[in-house]
Amino acid sequence: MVLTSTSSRSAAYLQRSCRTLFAARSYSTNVVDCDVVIVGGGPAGLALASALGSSSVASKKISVTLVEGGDLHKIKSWNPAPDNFSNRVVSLTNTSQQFLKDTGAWSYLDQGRTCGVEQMQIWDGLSDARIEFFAEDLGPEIRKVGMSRLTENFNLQRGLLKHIENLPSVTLLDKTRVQSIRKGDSTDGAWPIVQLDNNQTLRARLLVGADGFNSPVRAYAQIPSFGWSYDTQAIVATMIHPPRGAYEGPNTTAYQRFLATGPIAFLPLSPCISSLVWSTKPALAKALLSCDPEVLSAMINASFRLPHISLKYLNSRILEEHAAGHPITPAKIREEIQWREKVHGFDQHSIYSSANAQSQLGVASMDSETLPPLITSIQPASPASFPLRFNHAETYLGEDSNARVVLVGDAAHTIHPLAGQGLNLGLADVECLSKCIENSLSSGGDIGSYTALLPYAQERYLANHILMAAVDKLHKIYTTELEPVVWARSTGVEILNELDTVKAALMMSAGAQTGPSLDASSAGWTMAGNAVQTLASASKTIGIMGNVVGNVLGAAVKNLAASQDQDTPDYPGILPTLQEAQTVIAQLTDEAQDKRESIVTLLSHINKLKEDIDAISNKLLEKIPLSTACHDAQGELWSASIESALIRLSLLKAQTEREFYNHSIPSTEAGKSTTKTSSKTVNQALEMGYGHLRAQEADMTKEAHQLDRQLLEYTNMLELVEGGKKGAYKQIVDDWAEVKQGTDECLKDLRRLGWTGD
Amino acid sequence: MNPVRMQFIRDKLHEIAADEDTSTSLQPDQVLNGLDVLDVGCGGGLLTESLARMNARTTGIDASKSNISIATLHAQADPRLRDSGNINYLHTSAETLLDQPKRYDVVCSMEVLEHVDNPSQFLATCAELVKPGGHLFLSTISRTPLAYALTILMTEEILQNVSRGTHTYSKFVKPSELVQFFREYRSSSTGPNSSSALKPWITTPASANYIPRTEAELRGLIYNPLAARWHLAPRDAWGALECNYIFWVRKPKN
Repeated sequence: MVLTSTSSRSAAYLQRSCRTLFAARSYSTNVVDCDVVIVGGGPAGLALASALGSSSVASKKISVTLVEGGDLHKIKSWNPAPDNFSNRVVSLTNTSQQFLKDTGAWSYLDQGRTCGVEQMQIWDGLSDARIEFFAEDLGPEIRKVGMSRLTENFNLQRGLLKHIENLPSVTLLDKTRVQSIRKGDSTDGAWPIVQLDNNQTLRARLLVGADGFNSPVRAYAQIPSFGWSYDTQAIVATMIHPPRGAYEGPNTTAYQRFLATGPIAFLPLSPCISSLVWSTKPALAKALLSCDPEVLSAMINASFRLPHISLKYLNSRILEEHAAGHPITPAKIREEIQWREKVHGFDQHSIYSSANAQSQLGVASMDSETLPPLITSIQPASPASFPLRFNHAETYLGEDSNARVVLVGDAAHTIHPLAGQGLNLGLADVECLSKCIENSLSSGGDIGSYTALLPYAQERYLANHILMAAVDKLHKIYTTELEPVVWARSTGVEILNELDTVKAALMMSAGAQTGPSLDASSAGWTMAGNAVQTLASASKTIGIMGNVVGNVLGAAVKNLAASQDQDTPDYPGILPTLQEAQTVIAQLTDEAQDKRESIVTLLSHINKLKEDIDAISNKLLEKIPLSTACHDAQGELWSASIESALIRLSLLKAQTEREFYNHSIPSTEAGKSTTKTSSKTVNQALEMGYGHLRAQEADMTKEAHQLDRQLLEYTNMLELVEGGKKGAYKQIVDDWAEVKQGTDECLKDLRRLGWTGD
Repeated sequence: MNPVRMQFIRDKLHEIAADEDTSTSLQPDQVLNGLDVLDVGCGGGLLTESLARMNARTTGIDASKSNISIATLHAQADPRLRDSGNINYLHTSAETLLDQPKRYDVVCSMEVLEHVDNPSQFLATCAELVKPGGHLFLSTISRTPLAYALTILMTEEILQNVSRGTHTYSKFVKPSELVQFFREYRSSSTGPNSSSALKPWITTPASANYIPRTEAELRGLIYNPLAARWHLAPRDAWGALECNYIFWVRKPKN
């Protein structure tokens, strides 16, 4: 490629923070050296730029360049009417909020366009098993701030952009696309070279891929990723509804119902506006979006209220009409819904009825808050849909010849939105990566090097994977209705267990602010353990089912054989086929049984290990009285400093005493010389006195020696007190966390083994 | 291992700086600013580059010519290092540097001591190159059964990720031997102030079994294979000095 003049306006702009390398050997153009090049101006990329640009260590030592193809100015000047909400909404956990507060970006968000979630209602579309969360249950601090905070993606992005505006070490290049990424000359360290479509070329010490699911950076670094697309489309829309009544709580409750087609979620934004995230089958999503918006709002109301069987019927009606080329009309769907309600015996005044959508006045019934308010309309142009998938890069770091590349956010992992964790995972990545970069900078490290980035990958990969796997499993468990096995499971007792995992998944992030880190990690641990347990029981059920089917078939074959004996050749040739089928089924059953057994043994091993580790952990915690409670630690700190102050005092005292004794000894010597000139009797008296003094002197020297020894001891003790503070305990806790991580990794492998058997 | 070594160097220098001037507002990451630092046996320049990034005027020396050219090339690829002018590589030995008048605020020699034939002469040379009041950092391997098992048996024989014959057990140095050396060592230079030359670097007697925090320090370097990471053991951690360890000692002031 021949690029001649590159002294464009934006090149000059870049040189403010990056230095130009004119003596490039193999390039026909200017190459601008940059420390961090972030590709992608989504929330994760912007959050990283704002974190690095506001860090006192990083902002002094490195420049950050963010490249984005879209127009960031549009987002920065986004200024919607107060009652107009964008359809893409994010739930920020308290951990994520704290991170944004720490970097200083949080204050740039329009707080009026955020809504704290004080309650969550989650229930099953098939069995109506319900689970409720109340913010106050999570402690007084959570009660004040809510479990998480909902806001529009645009509000977050705009806030980050406004924050970045004030950060001199960050350069934004928007409306600029990455044309290609190639590896630089090996003589030049093989740093990644990013060719932009405005004729600029950047040479990156560290290239960050924050460029979403189809990450070009990931492709450049040849990092494989594994995953699958769910046969699911997410419909988003902004919903308008009347405010909650005078006797009801405010609109701060999030609702989610697990339907057989996917979860539907109601996320409050303001007293009478909420956001929809509805995961459903692609055909249904397409049909719904092509209908009148009134059909969509009627179906949203129905989807939170009607039983599964009716929803299934309504869905099939919508699909039929869509296939016939004339989308269903609002009047028609309303009529259908009302008929279904009558069939189910819904009272006109019950909260399950859609009839009172227009008139929600008066005293609300007791259970009115177990369901979201009825939607009256959809904000125009807000409905949209996008496909859902699961995807996880095999590593977050480019290796060997593709070094100096790191992935964050959706470029590293894509997740089903049912737990609202996708963006939070991305922000957690960014927080960890920026800390990792700061650490490396403060000990002179090269932030692009594998060593410097390894802690990031180690900390985030497993944490992300566990949550992603849990969310994926939830999706799969709740979207099956055909296989009788899973049907039995989802309506049976185990549903409670599964809802526990939802709870764990949501709590882990919600409560992260208050609980010590050890607790958070053990929550993840328990969740992983549950996952394996579920696998084992699932394969067990399959094994039993196989046996049943085998037996039924066996009986059928026997019957056939009997009828053949009676010489009725009605089914010639069917017998051998059936017998073959029977043996195959028997084999399969055996295999399933074997697999189950191996999983069960592995599980028992893991459980034992888990128990052992828990026991050790308890013992450790017992042995080390430095408890997790802040007060204890502070108390110890105080007592340690008091102790050291006392020792210091004793030291001083000892020193002065020694000083004193050393000087007093020669003065007794002087007393001896005066005795010679005195009279005899006085002389005798003095001699006696001198003897006393000698004895005293001996005592004093002894004492001085003793004091010297004490002095050394005190110095030693001071050393011990000061040296000990840094933390044998912390070391143990760190090592302990690492042991846990390792064991978690084993669990991950095991789960993979389980999935292949599924 | 490099981040841990840098962490130790940085924190120790900061600790001493804060001891000497309790009102200092110097941050740990500024403590190397403008110091003259020598890295003896720099190899590919891993530590040298880190020191230079901390704004120390760093000289890396190595007896192997190819090491020096690799290190030079590597540093050239980093525009910040190249432009800072903080790095200077020399293909020479520490003994040769003694002939020049230049002395250093900090002398480092990491994982070199266990390869030299005459350790006491090597230590004396390194010690000579330190300015009065300057610092000497050494890291090496102790001569213990554990060290044999981990560094020779495990890495050279079983895992074979280090070529055989890299280490020789008899050349390993015990921490107590290092400490004893600096109790007895007296500077041989005929400096302007000969009184400093007579002062031992570690003043407590051998029987005291204690090293003052302001004179020298020994810390274990422990590898965690699960996390693939090195850790700096806490002070006086039991058993930490049985294998890899890092040692700091300070030359007495005039």
